[in-house]
Amino acid sequence: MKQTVRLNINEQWYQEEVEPRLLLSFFLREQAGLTGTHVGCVIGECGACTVILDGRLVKSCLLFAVQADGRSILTIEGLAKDGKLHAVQEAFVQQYGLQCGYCTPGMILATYYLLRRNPNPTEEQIREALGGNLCMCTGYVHIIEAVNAAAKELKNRQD
Amino acid sequence: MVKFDYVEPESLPEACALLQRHGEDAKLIAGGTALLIWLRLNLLTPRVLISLANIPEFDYIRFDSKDGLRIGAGARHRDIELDPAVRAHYPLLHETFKKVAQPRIRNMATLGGNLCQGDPLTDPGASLIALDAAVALSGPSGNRVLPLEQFFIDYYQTDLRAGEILTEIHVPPPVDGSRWSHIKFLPRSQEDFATVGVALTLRLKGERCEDIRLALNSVGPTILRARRAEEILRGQPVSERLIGAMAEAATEEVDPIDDNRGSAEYKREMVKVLVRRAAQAALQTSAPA
Amino acid sequence: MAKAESFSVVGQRIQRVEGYEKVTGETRYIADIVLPKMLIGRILRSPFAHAKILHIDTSRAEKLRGVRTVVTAEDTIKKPWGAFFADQYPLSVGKVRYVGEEVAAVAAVDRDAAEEALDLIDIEWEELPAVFDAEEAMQQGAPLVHEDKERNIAMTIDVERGDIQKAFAESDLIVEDTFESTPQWHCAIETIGSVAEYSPNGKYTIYMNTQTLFSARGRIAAALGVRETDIRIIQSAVGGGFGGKSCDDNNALVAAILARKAGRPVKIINTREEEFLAGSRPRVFMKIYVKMGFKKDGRIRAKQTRVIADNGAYSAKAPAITGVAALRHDTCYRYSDVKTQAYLVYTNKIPTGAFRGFGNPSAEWAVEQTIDEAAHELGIDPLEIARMNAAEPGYVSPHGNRVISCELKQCIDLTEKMMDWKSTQANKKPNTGLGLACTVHVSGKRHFGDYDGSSATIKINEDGKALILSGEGEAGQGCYTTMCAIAAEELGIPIEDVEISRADTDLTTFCLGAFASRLTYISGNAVRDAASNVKRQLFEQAAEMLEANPEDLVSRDGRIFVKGAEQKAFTVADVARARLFRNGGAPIVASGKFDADSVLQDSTRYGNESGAYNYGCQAAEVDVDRETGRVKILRYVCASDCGTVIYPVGAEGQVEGAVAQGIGYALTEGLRMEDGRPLNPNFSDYRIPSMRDMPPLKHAFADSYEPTGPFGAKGLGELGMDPTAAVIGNAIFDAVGVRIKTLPITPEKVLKALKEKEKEKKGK
Repeated sequence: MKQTVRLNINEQWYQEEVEPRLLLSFFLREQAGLTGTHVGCVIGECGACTVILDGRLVKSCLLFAVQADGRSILTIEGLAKDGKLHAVQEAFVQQYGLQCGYCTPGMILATYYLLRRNPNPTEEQIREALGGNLCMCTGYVHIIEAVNAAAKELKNRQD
Repeated sequence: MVKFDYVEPESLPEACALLQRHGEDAKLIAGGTALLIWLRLNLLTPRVLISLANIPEFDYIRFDSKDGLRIGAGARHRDIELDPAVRAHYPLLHETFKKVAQPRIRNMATLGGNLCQGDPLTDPGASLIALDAAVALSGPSGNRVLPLEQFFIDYYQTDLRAGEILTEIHVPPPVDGSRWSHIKFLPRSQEDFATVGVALTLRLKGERCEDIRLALNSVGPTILRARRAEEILRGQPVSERLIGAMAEAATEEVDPIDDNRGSAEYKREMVKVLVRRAAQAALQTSAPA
Repeated sequence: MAKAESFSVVGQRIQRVEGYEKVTGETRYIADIVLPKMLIGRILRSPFAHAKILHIDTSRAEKLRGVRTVVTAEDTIKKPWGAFFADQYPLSVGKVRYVGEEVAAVAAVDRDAAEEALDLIDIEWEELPAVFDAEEAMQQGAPLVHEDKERNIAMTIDVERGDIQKAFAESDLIVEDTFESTPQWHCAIETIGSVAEYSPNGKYTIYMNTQTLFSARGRIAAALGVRETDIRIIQSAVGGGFGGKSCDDNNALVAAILARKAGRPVKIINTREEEFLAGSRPRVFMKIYVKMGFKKDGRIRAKQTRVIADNGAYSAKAPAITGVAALRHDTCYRYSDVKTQAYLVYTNKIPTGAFRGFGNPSAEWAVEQTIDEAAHELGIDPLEIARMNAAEPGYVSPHGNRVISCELKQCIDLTEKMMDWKSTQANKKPNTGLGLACTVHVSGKRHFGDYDGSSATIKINEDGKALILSGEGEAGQGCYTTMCAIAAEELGIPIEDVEISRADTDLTTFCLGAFASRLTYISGNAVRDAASNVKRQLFEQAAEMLEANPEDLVSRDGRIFVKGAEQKAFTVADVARARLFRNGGAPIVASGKFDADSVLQDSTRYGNESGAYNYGCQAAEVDVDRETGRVKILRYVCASDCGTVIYPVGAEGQVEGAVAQGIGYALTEGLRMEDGRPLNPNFSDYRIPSMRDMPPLKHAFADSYEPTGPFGAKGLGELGMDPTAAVIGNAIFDAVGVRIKTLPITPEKVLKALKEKEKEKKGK
C-alpha cells in the first residue's frame, strides 16, 4: 500500500504518495528531481548517494523513503547559498578534488559533515571519514588536498 | 524487491502484537542498513516491515558503576562508539565500534539490529561476548535474559523466538585490572568485513591468568567464544608457550569457510597468529582504573 | 630534449572547465536524463554459461500491469556485431555462451514492473557442456563456444624478429617463468546506461554515457542493420570510463530495440551486478610464459613470450589487447631479437575487453618481473638494469615502432631520487623492500582502419568567445579542459573564453573517441589545427581593421594587434562582430584535423603503431608481514614522460588514479568464479582501493617535448597503471625473497610462498 511521505529537503517540503519499498535515494532523484544524489551500487558500498539526514551522514540507498518521513535532509543541491558555493565545494574545484564528478556530491557532503564536527582533521581522520566514498578516478590524492584546503578556508572565515 | 507495508508502532507492546499478528510475514526494521540489502537481493520477502523507530526509550546508553552498561537495542553504533562512559569504562567497545563499517553506516545501524541479524562477519558481538554481555528479549510469553554467547545459533540465525524483540544489551561493570585487545584483521581493504576478528579480555593476578574471555568473528557459522582455548591460560602463569598453545587450541574451535577474504585454511592459520598477537597486546594494555 | 616555449595557458594551474557543475550536483549523467513518456527497460540474462534456448514464452510478462513491450532475438535482425570480430548479438540467437548474456528484455512504466516482468518470461533451456579455462579450451574435443572456431581459437599471433635461437645462445643468463594476470573490472562509480528513442521516420536518437561515440554509432548501426546517419548518439556526462564505456556491450542496443518496438523512449541503467556480468568488459585474463636472455652486464639479449589470452565468450577489443600484450613492451627497452606467440581463446565466461593499459599491465606484470629476477641473479641493481636497457630517442623497436621523444632514463633518475633509492636500500629494515618497473605506452593507436586521427570545429562567437565542437570522448578524465587550454593557447585568448560542447554524432565531426591515451595528442593536435585555422580568419579580418598584413599580427589575452604595436589593438569580439555584421558577412568558424604519422601494422604485426610514445618508471617500498602475508605499501613514487604537461593538475590526477587502479589490480581485485558464475559481483566483495587503502604517493613529470604533439604534449592516461602490479611484485621479492606469479597478490599467496621457501631452506 502506498504511503504519504513528507520530507524536508534543503529547507523545502516535498510530499508524495510512495510505495514503502522506494529507497530514499530514488525518492530524492525521481520524486524530488534532485539528481545530484548519485546511485552507484545500491548496497551501501560506494557512497555516491550520501546525504545528511537530521544532521547525520547517511547513505540514502540504505534507507526507505518512508523511514525518513517528517525528517530533514540536506543534499548536494542545498549546500550552495545565494548562488555562492560552500567553502567545501569551492575547495573541490580549486584543488581539483574530482574527475568524472560522479562520486563528488557524496565526497563533498562527507567532507562537510566531517569539518562540522572536526574542523582540524588529521590526514588519518580524513581517510577514515571519507573511506566510505569510493572514487575510481583520482586515487584520492587531490581529494585529501581539497579537504585540507576547505578546512583552512572555513577557519579563515571564522577568524 | 517485494512489495510490503510499512508500519511504525508507538510502543513495544504494540510492536510485539504486530509481530505476533503477522508472524512469518513480518520483519522488524531498525536502522535497516543490513535488512535493505537482504530485501534487495530478495533473500527476504516480508509482507510487512515493522519499524522500531518510534518505540520510546529504545536507544539509551546508560552506565552505572555497580550495574554496568545498559544499551537500548535501538542505540546506533556511532552513539555507542562516541559515548563518554563507553570510552572511559569499556575501551574495548569504543575500539571495536570505531572499526565497524564506516561512520555513515554506524550513524544508522543499531546494535539490536546488528545482533539480531546474526551475521558472523560483524564485529560488535565478539567484543560483547568477551565482556560477558547479555541480551534482554521481550516476547509474547514474557521477558528473558540470555548470555549473548548463547544467542547466536547458526549463520544468520539467533535464538530469537517468534514474536520476540531484543530490547536491551547489558554489559557487566568493568572489573578492576581487566586487560583487553581487539584485532580486526583486514589484509585486503580497510573497508572490508574482518577476515578474522579477535576480541579478548584478560585479568592477571601476579603472573597468573585469573580470567580470560576470547571471542572470534568471521571464522565460523556464528560469532563464537573459544572456551577450550581460554582454559589453557585460565589459572596458569602466563607464558609465551602457553599463549602459543592457546592460539593453537583456538584453531580447533573455529570453522571458517572459503570466501573472497581467503580460504578456510588461511583463516584458521590467521586465528593462530592473531589470537597470539591479541593476547600479547592485551598484556601490554594497562589495566583501567 | 625540451624546447623552450613560453605559454600563457598551457602548463599553468588551470581549472577544470566543468568544475562548478560537478560540485553542485548539476551535471547531467545518463541516469538523470528523463524524456516524456519514457519507459524503464530491464534485461533478462542467461543463468547458464552455455545452453541452447529451446523456447521463449513472453506472454505472461506481456500481460503484467505496466509492461509495454517484451523483446527477444525475434525482434532483431540476428546479425552479429563486434569491434574487431562480429561474434555477438544484441539478444541471444539460439544459444547463450556465458552467465549474464542478454536473452530478452522488457520495457515497463516503472522500475518495479520491469523487474517483476523478468520473472514472468519462461524459457526452456538445454544446458551444454561448457569450458572455463583457456588452455583446456584449446584442446581438441573441448566444447566449442562458437561452432566455427576450431579449438576455440579466435586469433593467433606468431612473430619472430632477428634470430632468437642465436640470441639465446649468446646469452650469459636465461630466465624463464610463467605468470598469470587476473580479470579486472573498471568499477567506474557510474554504471553503463542509455536512453533510446525511435522516430517513425527511421531515426534512432540514443543518449549514452559512452567514451567512443562514433564507434558506438557504427557498431549499433551494423547490429540494427541501418545506416550510420540513422543513429544519432548524444553523449551525457560520463561518470568514469577507463575503457569500460567503449560500447562493446549490448546496453544501448537493447534500449534501441525496445524503444522501436514500444514506440516510446526507453532507459536502461545497468545495476552494479549487471555491470560486472555484462557491462564494462573486464581486462583480458592472460597466462604469459616468458623466457629472456641477458648478457653478464645486464643487457637484454633475447626475449620470447607465449601468451594465452582468455577472451571470454565474445571478442570485443581482446584481439588488439592480446597484440599489445605480445608486442608493446619491445618498445620500452632496446630489444633486437624477440619472438612471441599469442593465442586468443574463447571460453564460456564473461567477455573481456578494453581497460586502461590494454594488454600492457598483464604483459608488464610478467616481463618486468622476469627482468627483476635476472637483476637479482646477476647481482645488478634493478634500477641499473632498467637504465642500461632503456629506450632512447630515435629507437626503432623490432616491430617498427619509431620513437621520437623518449625520457625513460630521466624517469628512472626521477624515480631513484624520489624514492631515495640507494640510501633506502642501504638502510632497509627487515621485511621491507624496494621494487621498480618501467613502461611504455602509445599516444593513440592505429587499428580501426588505416586511421588514427581526429577532427574538431571551432567557432568564434560575437562576444569573442570560442566554442569547440568535438566528438571526442570526455569520460570524466578532463580532456575537455586540455582541449580548451590548447585552443586558448593557440588563439591567444584566456581559457575562460573557451567553451566546449558535449559530443553529438549529428553535430560534431568524426572522432574515434577515448582509448589508447590518444586525446591530448591526437585530438589536441586537431583542436590546435582548428584553432590555427580559425585564427587565420580572425587575422584576415583584423588585418583590414589594423591596415596591416595578417602575418604580422599577434593575439594575446583576447586582443589582436600588430607585433610590437600593442597599444593599437582590437578585441577578438570586435573582430568577430566586424566580420559578421556587414553586407556579405560570414561567421568565423573553421575545422581542423590531425592524423598521426603512424602505420597500420601489416599481417606480421610490423608497423609504427603510434605517432608518439610515452614512458614511465615507478617504484614502491613495501612491508610484508611474514606471519600473515599482508603486504603494506609504505611509499609509492612514479615518474612519467608525457611530453609537455598541458593541464598539470589534470595530469597529476591521471597518474594518481591510474596508480590506484594498479594497486587494486595488484593486491585486492579479483572476481571469484564458479562454473562461469561470478560469486562476488559487487563492491562489498570485489574490493577497489578506498581512501584508507592508498599509500602516500609522489610523482614527477619528466622535462620532455614531443615535436609532433600539440605544444610538445603526448599521451598519459594509461601509463600510470601499466607497471604497478609488477612494481609491487618486485618490491615483495626484495622484501622477503618470494615471487608471486598470479594476480591478485593476496596475503594468502604470500604466506604460502613464504612457507614453501622456508621448507626449501630446511630441505637444503
